[in-house]
Amino acid sequence: MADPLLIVRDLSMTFLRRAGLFGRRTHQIRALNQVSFTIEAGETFGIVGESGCGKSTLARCLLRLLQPTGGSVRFDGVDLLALGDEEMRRMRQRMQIVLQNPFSSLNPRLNGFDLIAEPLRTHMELSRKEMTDRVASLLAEVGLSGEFMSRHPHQLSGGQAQRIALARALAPNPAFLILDEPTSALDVSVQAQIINLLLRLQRQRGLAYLFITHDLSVIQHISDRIAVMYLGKIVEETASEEIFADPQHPYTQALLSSTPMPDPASGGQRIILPGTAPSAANPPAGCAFHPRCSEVMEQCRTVFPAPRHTAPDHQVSCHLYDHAQ
Amino acid sequence: MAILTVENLRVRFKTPFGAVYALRGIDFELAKGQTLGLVGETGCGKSVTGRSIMRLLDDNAQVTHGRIIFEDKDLLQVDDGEMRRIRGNRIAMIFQDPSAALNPLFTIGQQINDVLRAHASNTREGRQSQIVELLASVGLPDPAQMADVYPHQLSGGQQQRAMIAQSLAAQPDVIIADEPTTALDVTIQAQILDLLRTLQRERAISVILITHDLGIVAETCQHVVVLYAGRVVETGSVAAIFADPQHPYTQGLLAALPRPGSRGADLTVIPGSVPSGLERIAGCAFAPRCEHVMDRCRGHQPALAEIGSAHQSACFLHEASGDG
Amino acid sequence: MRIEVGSSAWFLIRDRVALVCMAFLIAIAVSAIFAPLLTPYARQGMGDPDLTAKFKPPSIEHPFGTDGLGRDQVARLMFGARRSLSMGLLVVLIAIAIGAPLGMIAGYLGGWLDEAIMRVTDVFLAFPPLLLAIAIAAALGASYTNAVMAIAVTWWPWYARLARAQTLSVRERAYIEAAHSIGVRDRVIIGRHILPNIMTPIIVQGTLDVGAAILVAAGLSFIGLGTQAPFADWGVMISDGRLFFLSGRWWLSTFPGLAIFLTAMAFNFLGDSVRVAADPRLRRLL
Repeated sequence: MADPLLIVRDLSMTFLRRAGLFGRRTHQIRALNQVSFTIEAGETFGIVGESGCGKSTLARCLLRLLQPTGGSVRFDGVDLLALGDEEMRRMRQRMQIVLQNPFSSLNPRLNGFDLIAEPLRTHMELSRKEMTDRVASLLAEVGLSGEFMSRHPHQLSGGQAQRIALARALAPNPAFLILDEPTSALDVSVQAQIINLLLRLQRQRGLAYLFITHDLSVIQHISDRIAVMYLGKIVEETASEEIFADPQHPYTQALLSSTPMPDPASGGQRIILPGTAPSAANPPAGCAFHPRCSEVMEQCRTVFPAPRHTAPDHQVSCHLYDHAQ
Repeated sequence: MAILTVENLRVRFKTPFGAVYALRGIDFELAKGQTLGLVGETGCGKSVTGRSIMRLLDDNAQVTHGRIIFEDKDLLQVDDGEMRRIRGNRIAMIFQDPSAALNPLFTIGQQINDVLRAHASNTREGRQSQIVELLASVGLPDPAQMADVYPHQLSGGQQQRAMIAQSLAAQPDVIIADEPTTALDVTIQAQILDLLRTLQRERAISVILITHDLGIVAETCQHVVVLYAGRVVETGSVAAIFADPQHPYTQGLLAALPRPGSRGADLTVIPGSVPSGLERIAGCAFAPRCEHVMDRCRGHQPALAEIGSAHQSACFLHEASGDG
Repeated sequence: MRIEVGSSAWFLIRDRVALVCMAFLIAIAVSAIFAPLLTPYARQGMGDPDLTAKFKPPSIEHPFGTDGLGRDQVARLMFGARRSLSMGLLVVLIAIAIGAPLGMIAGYLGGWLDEAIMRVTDVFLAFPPLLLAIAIAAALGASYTNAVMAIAVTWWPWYARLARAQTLSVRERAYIEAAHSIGVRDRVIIGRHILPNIMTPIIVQGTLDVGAAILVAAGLSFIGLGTQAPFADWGVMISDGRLFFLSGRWWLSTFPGLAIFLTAMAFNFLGDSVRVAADPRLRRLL
């Protein structure tokens, strides 16, 4: 088997915030805490978590829109964190991101043609004719007609705008797409259209996806493997089916149980987590989840559980599974 | 027995682009002690319906037709003073964004105190203990101290709890909750929905839950009203709608949801997108997206028809199958 | 020109106040540009005296009267409009041309460059603008060009501040991050993504400022630091006429005064309308 497309090792991101009068006090916000995972070419890796868990920070660190404070990111054999700014800028044509809300991620002053042509202009020397042909074929690929070249974002529906954003991301022929909540701002019927489109594009282009969302039912549908994040750490990682069949971390179990299912008959025992996620500026000692965990033990309050394999492709960071391996 | 009845409600908005027909004849009944889900996609009119009941529509909105019957009174006809007494006292509303609905300059306790003072005759001490009781009933930790806290010191979920406490202060008979958990995380959403279920059960409050999330409806409501382009396309018990959806739109919505075990398969898609409301629609608004569309769908509006016990749908398909 | 329904231009055209102001300003501009064709006294407008017709009060032949050198005041006003209007417009254009790029650079790049540019604007803003303009104009020497430069120099810091504040907010928009993620270069981001999105408030401010700039320019001319004889602008005309106002020759200062007043007001109302038309949140008040 070929090397993985993306290898992330111990990636950490700590923000420094100044507080107090004249900013004399600083405190650290550990948005990412030693996150490790790999993504194979052509596969979809899902990251699920609630707001503040660090999933969007992770996306930005991978593209170096934020400079991580620790760890390493190897993309296609290249150490991204060692690249100079100009090399990184050129590398970005191979890895692209689609953001949650197309109406804020598309410049309102540009029309469809200019939006999709921008990455082509940035990375390639093309004649006007070649450019128009490329934009037309990209539009067709995302299911839009050529007339969308002259439309501005405010003339589009949410689904159409997200298709334009997708065409723009595909323009430089990337091998890897980061999808940061790409369907969260869309209605159900449109969400289904975009998910189908993403699946088709992956089959046709052999793309690898990093799919970030808070919605478990969407992520299990599209992902091969799923990682669950809580307060800057991956607490569980396994194959997509396993997350539903055999959730092991108490947080994963609660998340699963909290997700409303469109099936009135499924109304079984719900796990309602108490309280809210603690702030990354002041994380609890030991396992960050312990203040809300129903199965908390003494060691959870002091020792962070190391990730352990409970099955060949199932990794969980929880003291309940200390005996495993 | 219905506590609130909406009959043929029509609302339009004046915009610089012309009139937008937001509601084109909405009918439904809220039974006493029931949780009713108003569900639909963006622009279907679910929020406008909630605001019409509260008479909180923007100035450019106009109710052109219909009645909203609450205890033998038409809320669209009562004078402003009476409406003010009903609003808050009898019917309360919970909004999507609690941080915008709570006044940042006053403590949670002061804001609840205002409601209590306006709606109940009570001494200051009596109100104080009532505030603490209310805050405790919505599951806020340290309710006595919470009363002295400003909204910005609370998390999103806590703010929503505080707003629910405020809406409960006047002991309303009906609560209209407009996307109360959309801004919240999944685990916090579960807490708030659990709270709403508990309150509804213990206080026999009738709830209209406005949401776009069919999962929330399935887990929280007893009855569902599915809206499309300002009309009710299907209504019935949660069990009936989810097990046996009859309208092609409801069927499409349910089929479009990703479910466990469906990984990688193409989802069923409703082609096209919702109409803008700017154009007058002659026939069934869903006809351009419907796979079962017939000639008469384009010229005639199907009416809600009984298709089972407490299950109605507005589609010509049912007549066809019923006749044949 | 095709005007899209619902666009800013469409809203502007539906606004009656804006239409009246635009019509007035266009009329002034046309009479200034085509002055030689529109008045039989073109030579007088450019300064030639006619000593046979000194101090004539308004009449059919000279609707606004004549001045102490017998020059037709209508012609003088039309030729004066060339100077007054162009001074106002030039001041604003130069101030935007200096201020907007500096503000964008300061806001986008931040750091020491931001500090440096902002401290310079602070220095300029520390002086009362009219005094500063008088001082600079006096130092450069009295002329039309120097007056324009002097006023523009006192004016650009406002645009630098405005452009910086707008840039700071636009910089945080998702589409700027999206452009970064594509690998777009900084200068392209500034020119393509930031500039068009900060232009609206700058245009609004510019429209509002033209009136004020005309006033300041007239002020400089009034004290002799602007347009020089034999040419005239409205400020010079007021200045020339003021000595005779109390002796009954009221028409000399009144008509140029009215011209300044109405023009400045028209730019103000127009600026307000542009602001409303450009801001969807304010449109509903229309």
